[in-house]
Amino acid sequence: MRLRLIGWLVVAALTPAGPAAAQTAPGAHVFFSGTLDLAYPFGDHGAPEVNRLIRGDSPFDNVRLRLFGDVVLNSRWTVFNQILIDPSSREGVHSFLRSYLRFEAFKKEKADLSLQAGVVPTPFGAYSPRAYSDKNPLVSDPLLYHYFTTLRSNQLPANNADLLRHRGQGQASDFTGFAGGGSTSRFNGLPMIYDTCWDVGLQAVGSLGRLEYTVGVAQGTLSTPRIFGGDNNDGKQLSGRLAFVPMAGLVLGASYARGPYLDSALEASLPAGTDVDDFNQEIYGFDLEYGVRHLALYAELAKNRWEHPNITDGQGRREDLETLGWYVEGRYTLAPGFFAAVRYDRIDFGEIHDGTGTGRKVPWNYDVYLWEYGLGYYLTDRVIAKLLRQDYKTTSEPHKEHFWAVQVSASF
Amino acid sequence: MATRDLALVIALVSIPLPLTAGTITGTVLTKPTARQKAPPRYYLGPYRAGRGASAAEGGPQDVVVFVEGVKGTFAAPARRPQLVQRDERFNPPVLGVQAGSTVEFPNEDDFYHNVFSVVSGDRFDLGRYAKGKSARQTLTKPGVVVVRCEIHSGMKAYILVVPNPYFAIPGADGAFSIPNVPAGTYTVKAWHPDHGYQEQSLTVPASGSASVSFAF
Repeated sequence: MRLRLIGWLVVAALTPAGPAAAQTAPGAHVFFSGTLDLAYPFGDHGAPEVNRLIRGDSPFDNVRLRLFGDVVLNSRWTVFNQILIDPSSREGVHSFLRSYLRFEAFKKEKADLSLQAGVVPTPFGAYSPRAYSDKNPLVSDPLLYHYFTTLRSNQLPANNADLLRHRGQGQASDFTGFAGGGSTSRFNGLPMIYDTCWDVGLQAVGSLGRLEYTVGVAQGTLSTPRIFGGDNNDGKQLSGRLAFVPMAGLVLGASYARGPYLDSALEASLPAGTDVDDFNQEIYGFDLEYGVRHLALYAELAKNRWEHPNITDGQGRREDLETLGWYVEGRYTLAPGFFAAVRYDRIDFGEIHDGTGTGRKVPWNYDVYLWEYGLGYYLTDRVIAKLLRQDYKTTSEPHKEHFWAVQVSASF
Repeated sequence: MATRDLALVIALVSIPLPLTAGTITGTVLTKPTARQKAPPRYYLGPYRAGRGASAAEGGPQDVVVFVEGVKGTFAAPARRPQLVQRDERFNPPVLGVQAGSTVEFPNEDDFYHNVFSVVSGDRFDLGRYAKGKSARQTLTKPGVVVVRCEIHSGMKAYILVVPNPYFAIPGADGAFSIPNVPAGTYTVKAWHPDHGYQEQSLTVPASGSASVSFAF
């Protein structure tokens, strides 16, 4: 069965009928909730482009509203829906819809299993559940979950030199210009993982003793999640995460995902004998969560590689485009309702031959570093005010920015 | 309920009894409601969020009945009321305590909780602690204390801090009794977290009882 079909069935059939219909169904309950975020970045140009997302929106936009409508049909079936409304989005007022169905297959003393289908949560790492303003002690998302590289899924650099010429441009929404064929539309580059947009897929989630697992199949990849545009190739992404909870407060996780990421429209531009499904994104990572008393620590590391048809070592052998993304984040409660938080965040790019025939190797994009740190205060148990600063720099010459911002986030 | 009843009894016997005192009895009626818990949007296993608990029934035990305007100074009770964290819920969901009481917050789950309150009254944050451990907080200011868990956003409880030991939480049948109330005319209040306060004026006799009822 096509994953796209599953996604459309879940989104189209369940969402519109959800709340009103479920309230009348015996035993069904609907839970409406949401978050309203008001932010104001200080500075002449607002938040730096590094925070910009695909639809032109940003966590630092002045107004962002997220609405949830979760429908518990019975003790086993639940439908989760959420939508993000951001007036600053390039495409009007709404952004990505997330909607999926969860079926609890069994739940016993030492093990449980649930199945999820639809536009399902990012199956990699540990950040996705914290990517909401009431959970995130800061405002931005970690770089490895959104930063746009210069690689694209629908346009090819002709060779190493062509890719290197565009270093640092992936974050711009009008990024285009590779000479290797494909779409000439202007678009961002690929992130390592794009958590803002979930993918259409199937997942099995559950636990066995102190182990938690997620295995899934999706129509896109972590860097190219596919929802309404349909699948962009015939391949599927396989993913899995295993987490171990050795003691209360400590979670150790490992994740893996692999799937073809190039668009079928590039077939004609590929080297003879190759197919878009021959070129994969492969990513593995580790995550850690530790909490004790008033301290919470989070860390993630992900090593990623994209296979590419036109990037070679000059001897005809293909070179992968590698990235290493990681962050460390801490949150400490200074006083009741008053906390400090900090995140150090970076992406390092692997080296490729520079295409001059000298054998010299250079990073295929500029490395990026980001510090974000600030204070938060609970005005009420549902309203948090945050004051923070972000320092951002890349290895391009010289590129360094910083700004201050405030955010007031209300949950309802 | 047994713990709360015991706490109330101990609190009451620990204060000097007035020479003339009566008992306030009555009933509280509430519409039966299932206290549903929102489903977790992300899967978290049993060592981070438990196996989930069935919906709890809300009822008269969600109400605190107390007497306002009793003159005197009231020593803080020695007994510590408890608000237990169990199955990713606070138990009981509504607790009444006398101002000055120290409330214990034992964790009976296999995973951490982080109890805090930032709404009026005494702000506190007890940090994260594991199963079998407890933290405590003294509540000095009369009013509603909304208690939450910083880790599990669906957990919520209410503590109504009242100025004197003359309060009760009804039983499952809605009946309550507040003994040893000095004779006089008072305002008797009932508070429900969803419906707020109701009040009635009542004269407590020098001996015997006076009755009052509330309906939410």
